[in-house]
Amino acid sequence: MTMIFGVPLVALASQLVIGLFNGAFYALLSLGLGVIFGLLRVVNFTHGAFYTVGAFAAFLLTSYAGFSFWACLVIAPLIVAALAAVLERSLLRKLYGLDALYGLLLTFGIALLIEGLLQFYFGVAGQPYQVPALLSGTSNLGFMFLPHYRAFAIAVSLLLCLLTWLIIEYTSLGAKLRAATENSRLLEVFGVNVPLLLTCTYAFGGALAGFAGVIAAPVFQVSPLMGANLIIVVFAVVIIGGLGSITGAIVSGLMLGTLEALAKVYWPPSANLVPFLIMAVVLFLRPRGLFGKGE
Amino acid sequence: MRYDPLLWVENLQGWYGESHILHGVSLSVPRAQTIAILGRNGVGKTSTLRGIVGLLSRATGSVRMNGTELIGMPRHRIAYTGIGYVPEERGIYGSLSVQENLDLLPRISDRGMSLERIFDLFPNLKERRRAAGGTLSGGEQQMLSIARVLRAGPELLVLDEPTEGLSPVIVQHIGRVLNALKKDGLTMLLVEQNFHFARHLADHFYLMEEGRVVDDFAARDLDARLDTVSSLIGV
Ligand SMILES: Nc1ncnc2c1ncn2[C@@H]1O[C@H](COP(=O)(O)OP(=O)(O)OP(=O)(O)O)[C@@H](O)[C@H]1O
Ligand SMILES: [Mg+2]
Repeated sequence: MTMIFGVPLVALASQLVIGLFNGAFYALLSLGLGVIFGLLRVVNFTHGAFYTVGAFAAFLLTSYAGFSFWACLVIAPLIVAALAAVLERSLLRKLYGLDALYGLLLTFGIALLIEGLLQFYFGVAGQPYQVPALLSGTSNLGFMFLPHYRAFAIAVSLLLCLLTWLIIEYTSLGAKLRAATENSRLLEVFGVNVPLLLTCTYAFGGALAGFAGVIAAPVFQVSPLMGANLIIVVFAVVIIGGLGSITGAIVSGLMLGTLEALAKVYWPPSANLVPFLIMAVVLFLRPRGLFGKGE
Repeated sequence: MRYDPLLWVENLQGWYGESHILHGVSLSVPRAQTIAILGRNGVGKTSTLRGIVGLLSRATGSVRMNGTELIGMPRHRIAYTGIGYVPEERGIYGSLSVQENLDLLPRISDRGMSLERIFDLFPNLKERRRAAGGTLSGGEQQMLSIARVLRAGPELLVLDEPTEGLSPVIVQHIGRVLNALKKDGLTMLLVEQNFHFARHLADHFYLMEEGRVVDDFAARDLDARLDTVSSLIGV
């Protein structure tokens, strides 16, 4: 049996797949957080709740209305986007221009509210969600067994990240977003509907989180606190990548997932600490994060 | 025939937070003419322009463009009444390329200038179209700031000190471009500290002091007023 630093290759490779899988979530979530922060200057604590709502939307649509996983993959993010748009228009908007602390408190409060409601109706126990039949198998790669669903999840998440990055860097909509991040008032004077752009950005960030929630549903249990547990690590990812950096969010998301997995193999007790250790080191060496730019 | 200016500002009062800085500015900009606002540092020239384009935190009075009231209009709709704004700080988006800056503004009319014409007027921009806006020299930034709004197709060009801090060669270049635009019938509202630059362009002058217009006269009366002007703006 092939061993790498005293660990069987099979075990290492499986952990790496799990690491990339988690990393893909980190990337999707921190990407949304980063885009929202860049444009709205809001530290969106509702993000974890959006992820949870995405998973619950899929669970409810499938259990009560018979929608397929594939349909949920499209509909659930749209539901989260709509929820996010309503929140932005009705509440968040009133706080622009105030100290960032207000936005943080509001979004934190909304997250507690959403999670509390879900707990009230569904309890804290997790609800199972079936892996779609098409993806339920595994492939023997010779050195490991690759679960199809995980491979699919990694691929589709990365594709979505890549697509987002391409839109931001190479389309005229992306140019408007980047310009609004630099100076939104002047952009408005030029005739760009910035308030609408802000709503759409918040909704889009929410949709990414909702999408991650649907992807998560078959692997983790659908539970009211699933997002709250994840979001803390995601904040570490955002800080490591550099606030507002798109590339930073994606790269550090994947990196962190992978490192976490390696830590699980080589020294299991450290796995949960890894994100925060890395965050501390990065903050010490590069206070603006790996990809952050100076202001 | 009724006097029907393109832009009509009546008793414009403006605030930055608590501080009241415009105390009733009135002026009018007739079609196809160039109007220059002169005045010392800090008298409220920039603030007047910011009030017109909706950038003051609070403004009262009346600003009418083509008869449409701009005070209270959502900021992102103001450009569509036909205003192109070239701010004092130039407002180039540093992380966007020159080309992206040029393509950034929504078209507000079918008068929008083609890229060929833009690069004809400002050949430097063509060479630097792939460069990031933040790497341009002051002169290039000013040219880009003007070029960018011309692409959108405004009826009124609002320029805040387009020659500030630029070398004589570039000032001349910008002067030639603005003169050509004027000949094409573009209306301009210009704030300028460079009096000699302004007198070659403007048809009418307004003098400001302490947030008010204190005098105005036509270009042909300028020589007779030179003493007052000198004492007010110190040229
Ligand atoms: N953002 C701001 N907040 C508070 N006060 C401001 C702000 N901008 C300008 N002021 C004040 O408003 C007054 C008018 O400033 P404004 O910039 O309109 O003058 P200006 O005539 O354009 O001067 P300059 O020739 O130096 O450009 C000044 O007293 C200035 O200190
Ligand atoms: Mg000024």
